[in-house]
Amino acid sequence: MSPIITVENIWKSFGKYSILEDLSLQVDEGLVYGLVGLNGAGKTTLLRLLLGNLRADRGKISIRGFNPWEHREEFYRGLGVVLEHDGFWGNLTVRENLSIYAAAKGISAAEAESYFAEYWKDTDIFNSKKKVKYLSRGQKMQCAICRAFLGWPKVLFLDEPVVALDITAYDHFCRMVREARDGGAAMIISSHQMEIINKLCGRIGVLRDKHLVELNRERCSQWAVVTDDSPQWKSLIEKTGGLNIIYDGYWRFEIDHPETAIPELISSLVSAGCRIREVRQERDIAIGDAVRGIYGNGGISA
Amino acid sequence: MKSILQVLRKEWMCFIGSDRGVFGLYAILVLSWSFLLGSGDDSGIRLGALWLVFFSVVVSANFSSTVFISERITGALEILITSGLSRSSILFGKMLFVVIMSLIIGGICLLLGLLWPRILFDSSGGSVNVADFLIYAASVFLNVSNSAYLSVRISNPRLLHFANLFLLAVIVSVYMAVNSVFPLSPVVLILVLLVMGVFTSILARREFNGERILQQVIL
Repeated sequence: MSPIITVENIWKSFGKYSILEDLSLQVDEGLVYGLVGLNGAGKTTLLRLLLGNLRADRGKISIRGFNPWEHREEFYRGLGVVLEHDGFWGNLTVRENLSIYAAAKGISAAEAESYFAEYWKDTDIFNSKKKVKYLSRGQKMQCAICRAFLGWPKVLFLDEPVVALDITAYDHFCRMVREARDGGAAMIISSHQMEIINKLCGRIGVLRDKHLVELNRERCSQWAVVTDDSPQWKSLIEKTGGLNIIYDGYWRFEIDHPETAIPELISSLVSAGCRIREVRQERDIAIGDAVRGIYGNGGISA
Repeated sequence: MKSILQVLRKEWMCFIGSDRGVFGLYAILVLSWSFLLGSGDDSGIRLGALWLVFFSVVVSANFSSTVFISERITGALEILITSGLSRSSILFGKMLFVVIMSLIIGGICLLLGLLWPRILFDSSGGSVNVADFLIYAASVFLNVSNSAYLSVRISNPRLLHFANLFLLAVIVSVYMAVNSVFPLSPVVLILVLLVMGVFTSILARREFNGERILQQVIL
């Protein structure tokens, strides 16, 4: 897979406040990259640097061979975005908004309508004749997603794309992301919602102390072993490499290389006479814990 | 040029999509202001022209607030600059829209200003003429380019109208002061306004290609 987004050692500050330091990142074709971090960690600043709306103090950014700060029209035409604000012209309908955006991107009205009909006909925004300002927050977010995927761009930056989405819109969004990914698009999803990050992202980066810390997804594996509370089992889990072991009606822990460690643990527990009722993976919780761990609030470190 | 026309079309669609009350307000503004154009004298720059100059602030700064500032607040400007249109096209498309709308509204106002005295008072008409309208057009251009520049430079949009008013008041006052000693043609004022407009357009273009374009608007 060839790299689509390459960020090399960028620094960014606003006056005396340093936001990002020596940050590097590479996102290949067909990869969905999850960007997480606390409020004010610099996620939006990073996205704005990638969009060419801010200029890095030092370092180099290349997206599909373009330097974003040069503001080339060809660069933006291959880009789809969902940003912090929906950015719609509220006095216009969904279709009117899309037609303006499509024209700016060099997409014909017929192509835009065909995309809208093919991918959005089952959603409530498809038949909406209302001005955008009268739509609900979730509907506006759907419109923003619809706009971002228009023309199936090769690069997508999605900032909190599932805020306010209902369950069907959420599933629809996941399908759109997978379709774009399968088509070779490189995407960065910035979100506080670990579920969507876990579900869609092949790699995850956490912004902390002005740096990007890459999460090792294998280490994000949290496992549960349902059995009785005994110090003997805890010591066996520890011996196998379990971390942050908690008994909460069942044993919960994080573990490196679960593909080898879990069978080994089960074998040693059974040999010691432990009656295991269930072994399961709890990855969703583990990603949140891993992020907490990076921020020093317990959990595992990356 | 195609991109500028796309921006112009977009601005027009947004304008005609406005609530009906907006058009009502513009109608009231034009009707009431056109009455002011009937009075004046013929020394130097005439009162009718002055009314038009300051009318240009009311109209163009109003449109400028919408096209330059409200889009920054809603995030539409960020979407627009990442859509594939060049930043200069966006700037000049928006400026062109405000200039065209201001000229249409000013033209209607001027025509009504000429008609009211004939209709209501059976006199020969107000004191405005073509030169006055050219002064109005030049001041519209200065207001628009200055608004585009200041919309990026200042974080509080409420200052925009005052800044335009202040700038025009200074230019017109200096012109009138000089005119009282050395009589000047209105062409001088038109040229000063145009040169200032070109200068602030260049500044606006530079700002539109910089980082400040997306700085937070404080209300």
